[in-house]
Amino acid sequence: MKILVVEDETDLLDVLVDFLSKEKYSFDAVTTYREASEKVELYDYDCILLDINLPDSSGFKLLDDLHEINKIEGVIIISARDSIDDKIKGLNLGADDYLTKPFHLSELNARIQAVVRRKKFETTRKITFSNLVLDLPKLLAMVDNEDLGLTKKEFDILQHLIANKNIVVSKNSLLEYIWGDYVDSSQSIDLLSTHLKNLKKKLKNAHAQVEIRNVYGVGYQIIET
Amino acid sequence: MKQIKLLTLISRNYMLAFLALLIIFFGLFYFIMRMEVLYSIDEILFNRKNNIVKQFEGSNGRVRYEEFQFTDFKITPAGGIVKDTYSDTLIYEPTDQEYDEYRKLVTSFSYGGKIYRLEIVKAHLESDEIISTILMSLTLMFLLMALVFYFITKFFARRIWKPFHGTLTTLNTFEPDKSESIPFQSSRIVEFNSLNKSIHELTARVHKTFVSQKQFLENASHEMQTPLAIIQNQLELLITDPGLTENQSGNISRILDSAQRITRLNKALQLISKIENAQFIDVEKCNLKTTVERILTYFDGQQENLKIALGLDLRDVVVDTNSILVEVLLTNLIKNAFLHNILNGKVEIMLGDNKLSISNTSEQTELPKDKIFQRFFKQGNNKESWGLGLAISKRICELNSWRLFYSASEAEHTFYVDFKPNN
Repeated sequence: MKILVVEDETDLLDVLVDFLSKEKYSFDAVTTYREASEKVELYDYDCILLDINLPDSSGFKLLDDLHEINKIEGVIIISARDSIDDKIKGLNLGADDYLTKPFHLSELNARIQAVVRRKKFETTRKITFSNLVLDLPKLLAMVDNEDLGLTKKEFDILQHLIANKNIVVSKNSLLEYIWGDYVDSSQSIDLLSTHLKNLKKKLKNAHAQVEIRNVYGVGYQIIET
Repeated sequence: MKQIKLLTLISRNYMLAFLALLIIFFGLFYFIMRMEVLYSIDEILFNRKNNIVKQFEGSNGRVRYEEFQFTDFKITPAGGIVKDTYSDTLIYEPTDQEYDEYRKLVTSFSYGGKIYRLEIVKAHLESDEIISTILMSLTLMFLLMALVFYFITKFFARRIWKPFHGTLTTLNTFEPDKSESIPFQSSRIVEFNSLNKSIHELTARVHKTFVSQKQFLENASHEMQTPLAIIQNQLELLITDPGLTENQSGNISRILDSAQRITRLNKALQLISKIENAQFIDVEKCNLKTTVERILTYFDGQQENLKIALGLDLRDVVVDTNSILVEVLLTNLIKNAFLHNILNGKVEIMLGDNKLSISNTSEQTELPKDKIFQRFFKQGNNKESWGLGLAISKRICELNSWRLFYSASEAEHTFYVDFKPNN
């Protein structure tokens, strides 16, 4: 799986590069539109992380270019501009997703996986982790073909944790994942604990061979047992 | 305050002033006419006196009538000279058994060494009739003029004010985010012309300000968000490092929390600004029942956890609004109801008839009604809350012309939204 990162802010680019290598993705990282358009002409990528504000042109232009050379890459726009107009423009130009800075790495990771999954036209749309099977279209989590009876939110949390199995998912990123961008999620820590408590109980009852670890109160990580 | 049309007010004032002037004018007119009439009667009386005296002299004093019976004068011998006096008097008319008004001249003249007193009378009647006829016709004329004035103003006003009403209609539909400005329309009338010009310039300025404010907002958030992203993502990478001690992780976690509080604050403030700048302009039909039902699923866990009794009475309510904002509003209100609840508490949501009410039990006593919708209002010492949720909800309601209000009784808090407050 190959990823192209286009981001002019070198500090942010460094973090993204660190993260992608940790997640064992192979990638190219560039800082300008010119470099990016050279790369996309030469290589095929599974996913492009694209900043809109580039020093030499707009990221929208790269979307146009991709359209012209008929490449269907999965593009995730990473923009500091949380503007609805931009979001709509980006998605209309063929971007697959739009992520507003600042974002959580776990969120980025989940979106990359979703884009890649979509691109590969996976017919099964199923995720397996340990003896757990997640049926994405049906929103079902199963152990040995037995439904765990998760609520929508519990399913979302489980899927998010599995997508980020290699890193610690911070409480805040889980909160934002549940509540979305526009709701002040600050007071919802209790709700999150409740969801997690119920989720853990259901996993245990179904003898799922996984454990959701609370890492020093920082966040959560799912591991196989 | 009772509203009145400018034109009605102007015409009414004109009419009142006209009427007042007319009354004064009538009084004056009556007075002058009467003076004039009396003056001419007196002149006639004076001429008559000269005539009578001449006749008296001509007939060697044989003309003498003591009463007015058959003529209009009487001559009586007098003790001394009488000064000429004109006065009004009433004389009994036996035929129709009433007194008639007369003008009377009392004077004297000497003839043959003797002084005679002469009284001459003349009826007033005709002159009075003339005056009242004139007054009557003037009044009638005034009434007619008033009537004609009323209809003419009405007719002209409709034509003259037409461009003004046109301008008003365009102004009402002006949206600073869409239209650049209201195009200048020249008019023959100086005032309308300058009004249209001002409106054109004002709307152009408003549009420019709107655009630059929007730009500023986006730039500011851009400048802030990239460093925040770097801080946050670096820290997220750092906590994944397996070599960290528990102590170090704790510290990093606290920094991370603080960074995220800034992020959330930034987001919330941006959301408020965006609402105020009317940047959520796409309006569609939203069925609130579906939205409420979807949001409720987020709270299954909390409901189970606190053993909250959930009372629902949801009927279909469809409103034209921005779907993102209505979701934010309902999520905020429902979230508050569940989060500030107590063990074995209850949440009741009623939706129908264009109204929504959400009530919940809580440990809190009544909240200050005038403050809860203000930005940064915090009850107690909750450092996790910015106190922006209700401020945002209020703004969303204002934007949609909905009414959001709060009431509490004992330990039960209720928030109401009226989606059609004007009906």
